[in-house]
Amino acid sequence: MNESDINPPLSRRKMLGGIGAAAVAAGLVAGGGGAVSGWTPKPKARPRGTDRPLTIIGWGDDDGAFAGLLNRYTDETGIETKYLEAPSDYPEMVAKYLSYFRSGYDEIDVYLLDDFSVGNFTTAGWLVDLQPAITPEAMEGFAPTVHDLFDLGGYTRLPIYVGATAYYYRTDILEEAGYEGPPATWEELVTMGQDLRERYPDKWPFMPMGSKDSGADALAVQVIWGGGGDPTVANDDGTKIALQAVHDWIHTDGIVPNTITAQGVNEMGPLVQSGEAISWYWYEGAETSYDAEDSAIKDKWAFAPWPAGPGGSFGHLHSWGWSVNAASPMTEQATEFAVWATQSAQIRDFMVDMLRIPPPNADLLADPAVRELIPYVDYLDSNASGLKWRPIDNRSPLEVNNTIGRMLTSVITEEKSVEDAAQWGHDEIAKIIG
Amino acid sequence: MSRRGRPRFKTYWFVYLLILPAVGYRSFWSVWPLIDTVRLSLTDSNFIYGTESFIGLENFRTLVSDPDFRNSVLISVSYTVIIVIGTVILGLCVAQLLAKRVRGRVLGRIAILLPFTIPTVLAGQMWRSLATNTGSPINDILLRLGVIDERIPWLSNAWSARLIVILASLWRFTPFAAILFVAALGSVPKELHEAAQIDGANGWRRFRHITVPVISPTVLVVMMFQAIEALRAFDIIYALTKGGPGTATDVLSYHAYQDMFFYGKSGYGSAQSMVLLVASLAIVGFLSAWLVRRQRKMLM
Repeated sequence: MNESDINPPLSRRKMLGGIGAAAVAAGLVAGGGGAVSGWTPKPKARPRGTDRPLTIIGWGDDDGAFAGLLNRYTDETGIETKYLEAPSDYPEMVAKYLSYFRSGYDEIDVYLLDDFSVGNFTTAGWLVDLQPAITPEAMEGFAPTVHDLFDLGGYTRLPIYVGATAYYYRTDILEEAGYEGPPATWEELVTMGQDLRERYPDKWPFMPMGSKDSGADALAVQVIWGGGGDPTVANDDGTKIALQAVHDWIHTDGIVPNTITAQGVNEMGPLVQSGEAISWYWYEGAETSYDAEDSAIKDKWAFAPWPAGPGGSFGHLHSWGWSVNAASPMTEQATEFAVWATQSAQIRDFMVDMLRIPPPNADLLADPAVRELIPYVDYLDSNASGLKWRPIDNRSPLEVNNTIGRMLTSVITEEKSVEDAAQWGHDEIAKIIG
Repeated sequence: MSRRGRPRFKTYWFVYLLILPAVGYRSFWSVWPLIDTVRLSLTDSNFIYGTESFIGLENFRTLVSDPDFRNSVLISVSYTVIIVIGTVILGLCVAQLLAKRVRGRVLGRIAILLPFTIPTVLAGQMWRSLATNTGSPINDILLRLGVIDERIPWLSNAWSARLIVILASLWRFTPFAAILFVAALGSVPKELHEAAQIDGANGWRRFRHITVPVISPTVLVVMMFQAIEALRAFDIIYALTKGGPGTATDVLSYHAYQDMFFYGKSGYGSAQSMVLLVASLAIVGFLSAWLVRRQRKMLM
């Protein structure tokens, strides 16, 4: 008797039989277990667009403002909604949205988009044209800046607010140093800045948001306009003056830290609260954090128009708004939501009362109560001529503005000279715009 | 068995059938994306503009004249060389320590190997917290020790940001090298060291003439793995600097990602990925050939 008689090798037939028996047993256990537990297997095919909530994606919602808006929509219409929070990191948000749209993902119906991404996604044909859904009355209800926005960027987005950047400063520090007000020109910015830097070596006279999270492009366009240049041309004299000015503020005048290359939206809050910044630039809606009870700068700050360069004083307008996914099986409902959510009643509740952000609606902007609640509205009015939309009337605003920001960053980090950076910017933007 | 000694298909068809699902699944998710990437690299595919026309090698020609791409290549190559050399040297040093029979050796091994268990993205985030401009523990320690007079903006300056990236990468990748070297060092015959010691050879000479030849295949394997790892480094860069400040740490993989997933330039991004793939294959090929040659020499 040999080994194979004692332990005969497993034949193929037996092995197949064993596998088959195991599979059947597993299926019986699963089904039987399900019967015992009450679980029933989900049907493989799910009806699309009819058995899921209207899904909206947007900013983080710590305040519950968006949750409140969606609850109200559900109360009024009976349509169930679901809110998703997008990544707070802007490049991450864009990359995620790009993947969703590119793959035709149809489980998100409404996106909250900024000025740049809406342009790119519109070019790609991923967004619904909302113009047919806007009644003449509703169109009349929007502020003039919104009409400009529609002219530049089309009707694939309905804005929930229109804000602008302003120059913020510490009133207490300027007062202590003997200054009556903030600098009005670039020259004053430098002289005051150098004086303040001497008096307060642990503070920076001007701490703009830098190269992280598209902060560089925001700074770049404002400064380039202030220099009398055109950011989309880039190699004109005004742009070079502006690039040189920012370079000198950091490397020669010593009034701006070179750390701005690593500073973005999320870094600015702590920097301002820590007292390191004597002046900075920021967007609307700062009151809620700067005047919070635990704020270190409560009642010690103010904002003003940007110091003027040779070309004047400029800040940039910007907006976020609702866009409808063209791949959504519920475009009609999604469009209705977008139109509803940008009406004065809704904007008053969640953008004005809760978030203190300037509304896009003309009637709200004219309302004295709103103006008292949001002093920023006066700033928008009184500086209207100095507030401009960034270059968004092209096929890829994301790339154009990012290129403008990189042009400035290369000068700040001294990777390129001003001349080289301006020429590089010009060549790159020309390639993008075509 | 067939006449030439190779397994006959007739005999083993069932085995092939059983592994076919796994191989097919793996191939689908590896080979198909590779083929599609090659295809895309030969087109002007752009998600945003909706274009996808065949343009041949135009993307690759554009890459050659693209200063940003050349910068990424330079940064990637520099980073790879430093990481490979660094992990080999540090890995050997750590392995020598781990190989010694000292008290607390087990705890020491755990502490040294811990970075290897941390996901790379998390490692990047950790180092970002250490080097952040506001409240950096590194600055606090150096200030207290009197090494520096004022805070260093680690992530805002090109060279200090690169230094942080390298330190974070070495911290993360050295344990892997150390593990392999510990095993390799264990294979060095003690008798050779004893004999050399008797003959009057000092530690360095014994290391150079006994240890190094024996562990050289392992060194080559480590170099190969680390080179590939460094060339395709993405998550640590993403978490730590996102290619900044400016383009100071804009390695090739991150640059390709930006073009592909931020600007929608899938064709151009794919071309960059192909360059990365070819570079990785070249390194693997070169080091593998060297390894085989080395092993043949040792057997002779």
